[in-house]
Amino acid sequence: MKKLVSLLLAGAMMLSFAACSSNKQSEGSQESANTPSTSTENKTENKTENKTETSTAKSADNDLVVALQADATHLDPHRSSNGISNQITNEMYETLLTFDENTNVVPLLAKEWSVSEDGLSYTFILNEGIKFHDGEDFNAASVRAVYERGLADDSLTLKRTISAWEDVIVESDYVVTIKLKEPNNTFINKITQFRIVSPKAMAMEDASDYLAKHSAGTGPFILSERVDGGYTKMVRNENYWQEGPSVDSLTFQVVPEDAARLAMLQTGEADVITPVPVTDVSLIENDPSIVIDVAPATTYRYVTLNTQWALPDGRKPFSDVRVRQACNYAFDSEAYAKVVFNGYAKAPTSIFSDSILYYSEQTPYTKDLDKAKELMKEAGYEDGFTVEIIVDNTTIEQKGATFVQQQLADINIDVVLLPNESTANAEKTSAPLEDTTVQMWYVNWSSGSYEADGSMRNILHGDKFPPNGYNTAFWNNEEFNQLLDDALKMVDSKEIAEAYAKAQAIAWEECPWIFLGNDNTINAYKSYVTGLQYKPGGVMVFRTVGLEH
Amino acid sequence: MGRYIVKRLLQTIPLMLVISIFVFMFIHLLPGDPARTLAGVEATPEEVEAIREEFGLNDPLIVQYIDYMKDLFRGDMGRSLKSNIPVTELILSRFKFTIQLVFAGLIWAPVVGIFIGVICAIKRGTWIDLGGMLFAITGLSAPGFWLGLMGIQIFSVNLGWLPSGGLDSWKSLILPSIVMGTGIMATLARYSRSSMLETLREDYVRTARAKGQKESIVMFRHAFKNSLIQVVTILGLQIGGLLSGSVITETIFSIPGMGRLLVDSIAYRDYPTIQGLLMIFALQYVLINLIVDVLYGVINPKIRYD
Repeated sequence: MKKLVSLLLAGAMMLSFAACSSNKQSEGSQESANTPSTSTENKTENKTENKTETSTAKSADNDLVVALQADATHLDPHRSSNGISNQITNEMYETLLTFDENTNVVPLLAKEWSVSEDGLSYTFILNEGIKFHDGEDFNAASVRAVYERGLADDSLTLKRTISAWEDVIVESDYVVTIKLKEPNNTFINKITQFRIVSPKAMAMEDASDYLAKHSAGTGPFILSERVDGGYTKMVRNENYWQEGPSVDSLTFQVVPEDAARLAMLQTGEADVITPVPVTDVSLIENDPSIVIDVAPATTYRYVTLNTQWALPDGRKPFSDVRVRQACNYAFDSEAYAKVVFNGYAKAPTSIFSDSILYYSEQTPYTKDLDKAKELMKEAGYEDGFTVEIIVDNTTIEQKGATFVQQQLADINIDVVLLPNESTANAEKTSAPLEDTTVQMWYVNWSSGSYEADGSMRNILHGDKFPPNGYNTAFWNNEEFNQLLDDALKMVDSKEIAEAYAKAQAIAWEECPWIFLGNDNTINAYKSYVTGLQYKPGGVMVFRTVGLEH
Repeated sequence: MGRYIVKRLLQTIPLMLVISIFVFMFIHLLPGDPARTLAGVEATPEEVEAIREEFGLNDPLIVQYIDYMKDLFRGDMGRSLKSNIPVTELILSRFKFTIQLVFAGLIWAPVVGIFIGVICAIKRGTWIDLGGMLFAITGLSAPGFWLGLMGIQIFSVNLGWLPSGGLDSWKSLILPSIVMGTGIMATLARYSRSSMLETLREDYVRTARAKGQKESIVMFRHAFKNSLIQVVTILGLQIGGLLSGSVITETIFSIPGMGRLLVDSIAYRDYPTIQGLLMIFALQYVLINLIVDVLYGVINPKIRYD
C-alpha cells in the first residue's frame, strides 16, 4: 500500500515538474540568447552608465510605475520579513533613523539621538507635528506602542528587532529613551528596521488584517489599492511632513518574467524596473531614454565547506585548513564575476561586502593552481575526492555552482551538483550536525541592517550551527566567537573596528568557505524620472521622486 | 436526465473526499517548512517555533487534516500562511483573472480549430489539407513562452500597439488570448480532422450519399455533427487545463491568476492555499466532465443516461 501511494505521488510530482520546467525553460533560452559579453573589466563601481545622447522624452502621466520581480508577502510592516516586502512598505512606514546610500545612519522621524556612556540608553528627540495616515499624532508614546506590540506577539518579525531591549521610556511628548539589556553595537543599525505604525491601527483586534488593506504610517505614500500578486498602488501623502514626492501615485507592479519587465520599461508602461538581470543589460544599454544604475549589492556569495563532513573512508577533508585554502586558491573569482554575472560583480576582499560598516580589506586569494595543488598534496588529498554541493535550482545559481565545479576539478575535487528548490534546501541546511547531509552549500547572505555582526554571526559563529543559525561549515573558532561576542558589547567605535578587523582576518585565513564575490544590483529607469534616492545595496527610495511630464 | 445530473453530482462528494486526503498528504510530504520560509533567514529557532505554533503546524497530521475538513464543511478554507488573506477571498480574486484569460482563449480557438479540421477532412489530400495541417502542427509546436515573448517584442515594444502585460483593458487580453488559444486551436484542428475522416467512412454517410442527398447536407447534418463527440471530449479536457491556470501565460503577461498563485504558494509551502487551489481544480475537472457527458446526449440523443 505504501509503495502504491508513493508511486501515485511520484506520478503527480512528475506532472507538476513538467509544468514547472516549461516555465523555467523561458529563462534558459533567454540565457543562451545573450551569451556573456566580452567586457574586459568588472563593472563594479557605483555608477550611472553614461549615454552619448540624452533623451528629451517626457512621461505621459504623473503616475510612477515600478516593476518588481515578486510581491510583498504582507503589508503589515511588523510581519513581513523579506527585502521586497520592506521595499514596498518603506514607502508608507518610516523609522526613527534610516540609511543614506553610503551606509551612514541619518535622522528620519527622530531629529537627533544620543547614547549614554555605558552604552545602555539611547535617547531620541523626535520631530514634531507629524501625523499618521489615519490622522493620529506621532509622538514618543507611539514609539512605545510599537515596542508593546512586539512584546505581545511572538510571531511578528518585529520581535527580533526588540529582543535585546530592556524597556522604552516616554520622557516627554517628543523625547523617548530606549534601554538595552546590555550594550549592543548593532542597535543603531537595527533601529532602522523598527517601523512606526499608528497606535490606533495596532490596537485593533485584527490589526494585521487592517494593515493589509490600509496604511497607517507617516510615510510619503498612502496605500490606495492592492491585488495580491498583481500590484500595490499608493497615492501621495498630501500632508507629508517634509519634502515629499511630486508624483500623484506610486504603483509597484509584480512582473516575474525578466523579459517582460524589460519590455515594460521599453514601452514606458513601467518607469522603473528592478532588478535588471545581468544578462539583459546589453539590450537596453543603447536606449537613450533609459538610465541604468549599477550599485554594489550587499549580497555576499560563498560556498560553505562542512568541516565535520567525513568521506566514506572516515577522513574529513574540509577539517584541514590546507584543503579549504586550496579550494580558494583554485577558484578564480575575477572569472566568476565575468562568466556568471557578466562582469556585474566584484571579487571578494573580505568575508562580507565592502559597503557594510566595519569592513576590513583582506589580501585576495588570487588563482594560483600550483599553490592549490601543493596544499592538497601536503594535506594528503593529491588525488582529490568527490563532494556534493547543495544549490538553489534557479538558472543563475546553478550557473554559479557549475562554475565552482569546473574550478575545483583543477585540483581533482569532483563536485556533484544537487540543485533543488530553495524551500527544500532551507530544510536540508537547517538540520543539526548529527543529521546534516550538507557537504557544500552554494549560497549568499546579506544583512538587512548592513552591520558587521549581522553579516557574520548567523553564518560563522560557533553557537550558530543549524538549526540555531546557518553555520553549515560547522566551523567553530573560539577566538573568532569571542571577538564577535566582545565587539557586540563595545561602545567605542575604534575598538569595535579593531575587533571586527581581527575577526575578518581570522575567517579569511581559516577559509570556512570558498569566497566567491559580491554581485551588483542593477536598476533601470526612464530618463524622465527625477529625485530617486538609494539605500545601501542599490535599494531604491521614492521619497522625493518625480516625473517630467 | 435531471436525475442523472443529480446522481453524478452526489457521486462527486466521496470523490472530493478522497482527493482531499491525497492532496493533503501530498503537500505535507513535500520537503520544506513554511514557518522557516516565512520567518526568513535571520529568524531565531524561537521565532520559527512561534510561527509553527500559530499556524497549528505542530499538531499531528491527522489532527491538522480533521481540523481542515471541519472548517471546510463550514465553508472556511483557512487563511493563507503567506499573506494571511482568507484562502476563499484569495482564490476568488485570482479566479477573476484566470476566467478572463480562459474566455479570451476560447472565444476564437475552438471555432477556428474545428473549422480548419473539417475543411482539411473534406479537402483531404489537397494542398488545403496540407496547408491546414502544417498550420496546426506549427501551432502545436510553438512553445507558449516563445509565442508570448515574440508577441510582446513585436506588438508592444516595436509597434507599440498592445500593452505588454496586465489586464487593464480589452487590448491587454489580445496577446494572452493568442498564447492561450493557439494550442487549443491546433489540437482541435487535428482531432476534428481525424474524427471527421472517420465519420465520413461510416455506413450511414454512404447511405446518405446513395440516397442522393446534397453533399452539403451529408457533410454537415450527418458527418460533422457525429464527429463532434470526440471533439467535445478533447475540448472539455483542454478547458479543464486552462481553468487550473496557465502559469506560463500568467507569468509572461504579469497576470495574477490561479496558476501563478499555485506556483507561488508551493514555493512558500503555503499549505491552505495549495490545498484550496487543488481542491478547486479537481472540482472544476469533475464538473467539466459532467458537462461534457451531458453534451454527448445533446449531440447524439441515442446516448442514454442510466
